[in-house]
Amino acid sequence: MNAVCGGAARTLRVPGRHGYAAEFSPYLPGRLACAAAQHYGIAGCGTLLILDPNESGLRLFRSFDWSDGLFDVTWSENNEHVLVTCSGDGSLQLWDTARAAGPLQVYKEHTQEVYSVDWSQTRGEQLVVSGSWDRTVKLWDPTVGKSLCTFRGHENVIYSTIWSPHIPGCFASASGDQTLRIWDVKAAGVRIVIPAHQAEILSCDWCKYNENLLVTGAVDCSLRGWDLRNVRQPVFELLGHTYAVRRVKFSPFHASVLASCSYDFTVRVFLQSLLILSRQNIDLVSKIKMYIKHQEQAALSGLLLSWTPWRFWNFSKPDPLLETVEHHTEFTCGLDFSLQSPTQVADCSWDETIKIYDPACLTIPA
Amino acid sequence: MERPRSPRRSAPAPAPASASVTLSQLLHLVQQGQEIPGLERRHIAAIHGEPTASRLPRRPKPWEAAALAESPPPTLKIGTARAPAEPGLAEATTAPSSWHTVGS
Repeated sequence: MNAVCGGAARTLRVPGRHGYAAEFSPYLPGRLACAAAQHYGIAGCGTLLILDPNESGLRLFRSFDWSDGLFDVTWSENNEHVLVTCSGDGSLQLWDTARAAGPLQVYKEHTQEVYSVDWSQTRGEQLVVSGSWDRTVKLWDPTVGKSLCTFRGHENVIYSTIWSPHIPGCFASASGDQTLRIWDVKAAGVRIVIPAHQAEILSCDWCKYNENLLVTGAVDCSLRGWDLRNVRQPVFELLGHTYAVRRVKFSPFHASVLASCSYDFTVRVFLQSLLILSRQNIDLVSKIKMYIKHQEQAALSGLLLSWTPWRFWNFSKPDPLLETVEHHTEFTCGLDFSLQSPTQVADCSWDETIKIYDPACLTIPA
Repeated sequence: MERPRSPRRSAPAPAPASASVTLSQLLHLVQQGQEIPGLERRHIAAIHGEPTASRLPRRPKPWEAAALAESPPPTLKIGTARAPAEPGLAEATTAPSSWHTVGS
């Protein structure tokens, strides 16, 4: 059953679309963008959904389709109409919510899926960073058609690239090579390489109230906090997920509060391979049969994806787990905290729904 | 202790075109080399337009109000890391071997 929420969740059903990422508008209260894919991102198109709250629920303000699945979305920090998405076909798209059709621009350089895109939050910059399975990070100015810079160094797929909310020109990346890397645009390269886990790192985020603090979430099922002034060991570790941590986000209002979700990564590896194979138009069936031979039959017999719901944590508490929110019926990895309301979050799920709600742990004073 | 959730076990039969396909059904279809029902193929191109002009002022972030009291903007403080000998071009295919990985 649901953990108690501060009020009823607002829900929008989006048939045939599986959400990957959600982000609240920095300008318009309650406006939410959601990057989604058809068929779990395995095949078919993608859709960018723009939602607004109405009296009792959520309404779809506008949607934009793309030829391939969309894996992440980021709002512009200098224009309330503008967003960027990234796609399974390796491209980024620039959108204008005031137009009925789009995209305004397409940026095609990455040679594999782009899993992460983020618009810089520091003033005076108009920079977007993208992270790809092609192992590179690219820096973009949306007014320029080509990337400004390509950052190489990761030795495996990149899952997450996030700007520091405090340090201009500084961003973090999380990778399958088990490192968290901190990059500096002015230095045009990496500044710190942290072997943060002995497993693939699927997500990272910056603390909004301590410019030296980041969190990583990894396939080893743990969340770890890192202080850039001394990266020899994590400053905190949150345990309790029984699967790989797929997404972690820090609260914009509460200095030590964060949210995370997890899922059975062994099946994810299978899905990832399927995705790659189907895009290469190789003889898909025989390749899958070969791949399956190497997997444990039990794990794949039902081709099930096991997952766990959102957990909210306060890492400064001796008992850090605040709440588990279970209101979706399928895997859910898109989440964002509201920038206007300290109690509100949004999420988008593979159960074809998007929800905005107030978890009890955020409504009760810490 | 965390209670893991598993989705509904669906019979691996092809779904009717109008219904949403569950993940297990989809993977079964792909495995069998069958057509995925309702697959929407789009060929979408950029319209090469300019963004609609912004009219709203930028709103401060919740943490920016708290930080207003602080003076200089933060810079990247590297503790035990060694800064690279020369930044080099970002186009370099590998990081210089003299850069140290930090941590044990």
